[in-house]
Amino acid sequence: MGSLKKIIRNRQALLGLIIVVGLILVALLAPFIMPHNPNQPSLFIRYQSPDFFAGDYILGTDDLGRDVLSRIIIGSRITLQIGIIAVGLSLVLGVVLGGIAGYVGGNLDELIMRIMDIILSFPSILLAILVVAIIGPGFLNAMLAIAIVRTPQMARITRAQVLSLKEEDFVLAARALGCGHMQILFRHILRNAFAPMLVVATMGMGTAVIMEASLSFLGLGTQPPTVSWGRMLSAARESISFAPHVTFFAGMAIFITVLGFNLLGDGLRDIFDPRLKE
Amino acid sequence: MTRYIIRRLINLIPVLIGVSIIVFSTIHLAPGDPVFLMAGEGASEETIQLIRQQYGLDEPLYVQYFTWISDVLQGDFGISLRQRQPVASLILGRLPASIELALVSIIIGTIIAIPLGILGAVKHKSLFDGGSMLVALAGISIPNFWLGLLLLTFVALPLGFFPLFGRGAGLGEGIAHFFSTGSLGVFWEGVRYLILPSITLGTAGAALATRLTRSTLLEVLKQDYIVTARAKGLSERIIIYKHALKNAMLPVITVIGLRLGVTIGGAVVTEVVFAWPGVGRLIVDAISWRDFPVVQAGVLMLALLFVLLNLAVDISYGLINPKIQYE
Repeated sequence: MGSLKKIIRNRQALLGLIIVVGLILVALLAPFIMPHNPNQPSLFIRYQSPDFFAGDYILGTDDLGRDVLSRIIIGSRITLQIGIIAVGLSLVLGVVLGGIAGYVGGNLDELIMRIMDIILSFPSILLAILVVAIIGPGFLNAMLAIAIVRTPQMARITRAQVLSLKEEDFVLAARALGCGHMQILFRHILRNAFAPMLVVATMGMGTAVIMEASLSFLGLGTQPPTVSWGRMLSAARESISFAPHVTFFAGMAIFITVLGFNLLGDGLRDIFDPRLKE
Repeated sequence: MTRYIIRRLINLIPVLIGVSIIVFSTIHLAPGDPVFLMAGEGASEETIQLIRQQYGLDEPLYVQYFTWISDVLQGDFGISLRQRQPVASLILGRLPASIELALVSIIIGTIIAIPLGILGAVKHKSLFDGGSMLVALAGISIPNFWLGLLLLTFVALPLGFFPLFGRGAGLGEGIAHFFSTGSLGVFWEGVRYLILPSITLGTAGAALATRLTRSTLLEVLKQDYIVTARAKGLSERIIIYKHALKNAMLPVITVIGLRLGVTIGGAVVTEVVFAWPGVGRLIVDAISWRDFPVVQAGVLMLALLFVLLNLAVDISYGLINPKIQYE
């Protein structure tokens, strides 16, 4: 049975897939589906309440009179970029470091994994805050911070996979056929470690989105005029007592997105390896 | 066992050295000369030279590191650039609030999570099971600062019962007050301040614990000795509460223990939302003022606490479970 079919049969994974695909579509089609210009302030319509049926501004407007729905739609692009850049970066770093550690072993393994231990000794959000405090706030810096924080987990999983796979017969066969180390590691071993890494990467998307939102909320992540959901939430904090709708919808967008990635990740884990089921 | 503990402690040394180097580096990696930060704007060239000498900032980096770390080991974290007070006393003043919040949120979370997880496993594949698992997944996915804001908007504001921010006198003070005066007023005051921040901070951990309790219990219920117990004709109640639960609880308790470190360190955002006077908020404020001695000390303390708590959990895991063999 193909993987896609398995996903469709697993209700949880299917719901996750629908949310994630929906997010991608919204991000791609953003210019066509935004009802208003997301950055157009209009002082006459500040803090309009949401009106789901008749209003021009379905989800209301924010402190500068900008359309909340349009800002959420355009913000999906940043959210998706966060997931892809931060997780992609940690995936590359983690796979290379963990792969080398597991394959080469010995002192190099010891050195790499001790460095990973050091990173893991910091509560992750705290380390991300520290990194951003050093290199300065901003979208790309926040991505880098999240990637650094997420790397040890990827490295550990990759290493564990490599350790268990490198004694397998097919690796021995590849070696007997004269394959080089790089080829054995990346072509034969890591290809077989793909499934668990995909699961971790999918779950990591959700974590990355929450982390970026937290950093932006603290004023350390994405800076204006870039529209990010975390930033919207943080900016709307002062008006929460009389216009809670901005905070509510921006947070809801983050929540649904993260839930989507987690549902998909959970489902993928069940599909690929029922033994891993927590 | 003793050898294992000793080995773990030895392994800890390079990690702690690495942590301290990272923390030390922050002030030097950050853009801008730290001396200018200390001297303030418009300081004369002489003042700057004086500060540079006074703080040993004209020495090579490794000398500075050794000076710094030997001070730190003696409990001297320097002086806050902004508040002009010893950093150590600033941190120690905030630590009780952080620990109180983390402990209470873990306790509340555990009280909710374990029964939910057990019920989920007992009624496996029922509507309740599916529903509680979905709620647990939602609990993991919800950004906690948003949850905090929602609680403020939709619970605290309309009810008027929960304070919107701050901590009050604290639980410890409340208990002391009870013993000296016999009145629980201060204690309940502390509880009112604690409830919403604890829910905010504890939700993710509670959700994880629910899922883990359920899956471990399901795993245990498949074991041979459970089949034996069933064959003996024991009631389902006794099988679950006497035979299965005991064995299922060990990993759950471990994970809850490990959460304590995560919770104290990860409380930063919750502390900001509720203006909770903990170490996390102290660090965030210090970052915006570029008060690096406070940032360094705060991060170092939280990381140290995190590492030591995790070690303690690992060791006690071995003590409770004789099946664990250490090479």
